[in-house]
Amino acid sequence: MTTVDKISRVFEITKLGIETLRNSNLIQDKITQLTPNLILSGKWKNFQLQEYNIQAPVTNVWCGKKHPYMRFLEEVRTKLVTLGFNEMTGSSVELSFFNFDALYTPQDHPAREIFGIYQVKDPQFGNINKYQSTLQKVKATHENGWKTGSTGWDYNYSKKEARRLILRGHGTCLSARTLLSKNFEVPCKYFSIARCYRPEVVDKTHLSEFNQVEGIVVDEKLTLRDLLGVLARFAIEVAGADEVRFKPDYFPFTEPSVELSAFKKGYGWIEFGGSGIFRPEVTMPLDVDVPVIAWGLGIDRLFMMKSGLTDIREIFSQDLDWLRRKEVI
Amino acid sequence: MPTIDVSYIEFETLLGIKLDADLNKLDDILSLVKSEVKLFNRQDDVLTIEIKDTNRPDLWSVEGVTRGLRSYLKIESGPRDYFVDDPIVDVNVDFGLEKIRPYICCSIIKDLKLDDTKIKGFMHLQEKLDQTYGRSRQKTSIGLYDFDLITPPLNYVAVAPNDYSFIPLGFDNELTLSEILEKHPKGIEYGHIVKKNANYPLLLDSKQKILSFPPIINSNDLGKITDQTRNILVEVTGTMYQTTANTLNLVSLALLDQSGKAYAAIINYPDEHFYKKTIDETPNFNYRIVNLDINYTKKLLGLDLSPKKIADLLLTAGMGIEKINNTSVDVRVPCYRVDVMHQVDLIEDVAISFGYNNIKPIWRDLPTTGSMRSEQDLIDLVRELMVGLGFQETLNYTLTNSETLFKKMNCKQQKVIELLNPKIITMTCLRNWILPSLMNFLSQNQSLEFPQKIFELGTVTLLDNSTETLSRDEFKLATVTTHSNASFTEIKSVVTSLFMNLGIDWSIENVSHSSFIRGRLGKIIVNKKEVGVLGEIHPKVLEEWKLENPAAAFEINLNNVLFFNS
Repeated sequence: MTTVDKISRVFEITKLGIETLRNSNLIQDKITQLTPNLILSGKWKNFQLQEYNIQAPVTNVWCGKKHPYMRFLEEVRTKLVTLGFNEMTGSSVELSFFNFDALYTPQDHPAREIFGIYQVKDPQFGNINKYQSTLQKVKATHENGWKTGSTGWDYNYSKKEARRLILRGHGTCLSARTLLSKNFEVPCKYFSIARCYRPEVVDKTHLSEFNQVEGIVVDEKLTLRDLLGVLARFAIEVAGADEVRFKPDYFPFTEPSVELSAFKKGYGWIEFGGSGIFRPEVTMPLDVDVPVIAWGLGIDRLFMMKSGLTDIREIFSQDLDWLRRKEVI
Repeated sequence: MPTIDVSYIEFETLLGIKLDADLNKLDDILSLVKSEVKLFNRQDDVLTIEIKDTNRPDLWSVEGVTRGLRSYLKIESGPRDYFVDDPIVDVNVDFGLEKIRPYICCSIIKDLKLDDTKIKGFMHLQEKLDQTYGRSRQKTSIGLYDFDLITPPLNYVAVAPNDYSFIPLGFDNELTLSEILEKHPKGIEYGHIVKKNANYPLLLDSKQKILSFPPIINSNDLGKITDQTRNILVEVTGTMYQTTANTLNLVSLALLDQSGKAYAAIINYPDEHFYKKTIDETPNFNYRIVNLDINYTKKLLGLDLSPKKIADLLLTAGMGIEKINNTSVDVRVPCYRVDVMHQVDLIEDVAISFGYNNIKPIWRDLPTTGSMRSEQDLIDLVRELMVGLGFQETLNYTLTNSETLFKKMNCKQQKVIELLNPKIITMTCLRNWILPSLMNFLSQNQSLEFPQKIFELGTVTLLDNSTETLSRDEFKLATVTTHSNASFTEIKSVVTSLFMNLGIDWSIENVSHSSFIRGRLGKIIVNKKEVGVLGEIHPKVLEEWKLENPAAAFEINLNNVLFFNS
């Protein structure tokens, strides 16, 4: 610590001095703040308004803003609606039946074990009475293929396991529910923006809670060419891609399955989506007899690229400073 | 997704051709078998491959990946044939295994030339098959043995846990079967598979030497494979016959791709009633015939392909052709393609052979009208109003923990959706209100400028016996303002403005809520229903979150305010 002696000096201007200055018309009283009183009374005319140092720093003003990721999802939602898609919704807690069984994922599949999906502690099992007849068909399909022409998965299906409550691991359960509901006319297109959960070790590229944009297209005439067409359209409309490329992919519920990569100048190639045509083992037990294209978009990666994020955890950023300073364009 | 480390030199040797050692080109080639390069280090001779297809266990080894690629690279056409010589071993299956682990399949591979890299590769394949295809050894488990140390015939028996003991792999003293379950790491890991039975499975040779205690552990003497081992006995036990037989094939073929010759084993079953037969011969490398419908193929792919063209494409994909006519192709599916369950699996192979990027995409203008979820317009309006009122929108996890939801909010514990298998202690349940998420957010930003004004409009999950998932999601809006003068008045003004702009009449009534200061809070009433709470945050809560400034907040259930009335 250093101590500094404080010295005050007072200077006063004499009465004569003030009088002389006033009469000289050279210098008026200067004021900094214009007040309502000065304006209304017209007295402002007697004063000179102090000139400011316009280079002086000012305090920050933080405006209210939408979250950049939420705004991005709004854009995606609007684009999908423009492309003729209807939004589906559902609850975060889901029956295993819709998350897995109806999507031809066998009950002993590793994705269903405790390291693949969050299970609910209490209550552990939900109610599936409403779906008894579908449950029978799904059971037969898993065990021996039922009448789908498939071999099935070669194991004993448990109806109790179908009732297990989990946090949904993907948005595709909503598509299964929509197909079963019969509340649709062919042709139709659906999408969902669903919060999904998986017991992942959270790191730069994995979250255990994330959003998925997924959906279906249903029409009698659909083929693999349509599937590629849908993906190409998404790449252009949603990602603003300059070029697209397709690769073989795998999902238990689709065949053929396709991975979409999109190229955008300044960003490079990104894996932007996965999709396929639902297997007969999925559609037939749901009493759907037309082809169904199922698709999902990797929007997190697209958002990260657009926002210059390198760590996926920053989507759920708890940093107010980043949110305050993040530009909106 | 399975990942395998292979030697690039081995990879090329098994393929039988030299490739351009270029990462992008390798990626393109591997995409034909739904795999990609994770890492390629030419100098250290390491190629790490990720296989996206979890239903293609035939690809989980360097032998398998190259087997899958050979036809695509035109090194050979159709599948490679594998042969089995006459049986040289008998395996007698004892009574009593029907309900424990009924099936056993064996093969003997002779004249092998092994080295450490290859052995390591086989061990990885065995591990991956046990874990994934064998469902953590529950459905199938594999054992490899030095055949020269074994005296056939073998006996697969069910025995009492304390009647037998042997030196398990990695140990140097004898343990009984019960002791293995208690003391051996594998016994601790997989013991639950057999523990429920009175008797345990055991595999012995004719001199009573123990090969293994399936599916737990092999013997330390017989189950050790080294670069000196020439002849190997492969044994797979399991609960489902087809999966057991498939697993044996996958391991045997990987060995055969390296070197050696396969010999069969005769399995003698004790009970015709259960096993449906008395004798089985393993392994069985025969192909299956799957009939592929031409019209279905053309319709699904949207491509006009002739039967001949489809057959050619299938050969490129490594399938065999039995017969072609105008309406269908009889396809020989090799035994290792265990993923083929339906003809759509073959149709995908046709498409991959044709090349996804050679297929012209089409966009059909289907007459559909798009729409957002019914709540979306109102959600967006509310968010817009909050932004207009000067609040920053935040995005928070819905997974949280009860300390955050209740203890740190000075509240009594409530029942929420809890997870059976949380991964980390901070994420053990779904939130039932949003304000704690916002307090958590603020606690991490105390060094920044004030005032800090934030909100989130998101979902919470509540228990509800009337639904099929015994729970329901609801939309809530929570808002906090914190600075040196934050007060009840300020937040009441915000709520007033919000409701005025939404055209909703509301009133405020006294309520008690321990997260807020007594006498400085109220419940929000709309249509005579309580829809939320507003007030000044209790200093106890501020202390818990280490907030230095007063804070005022509100939380409203939007389902009750907006959506149910619209």
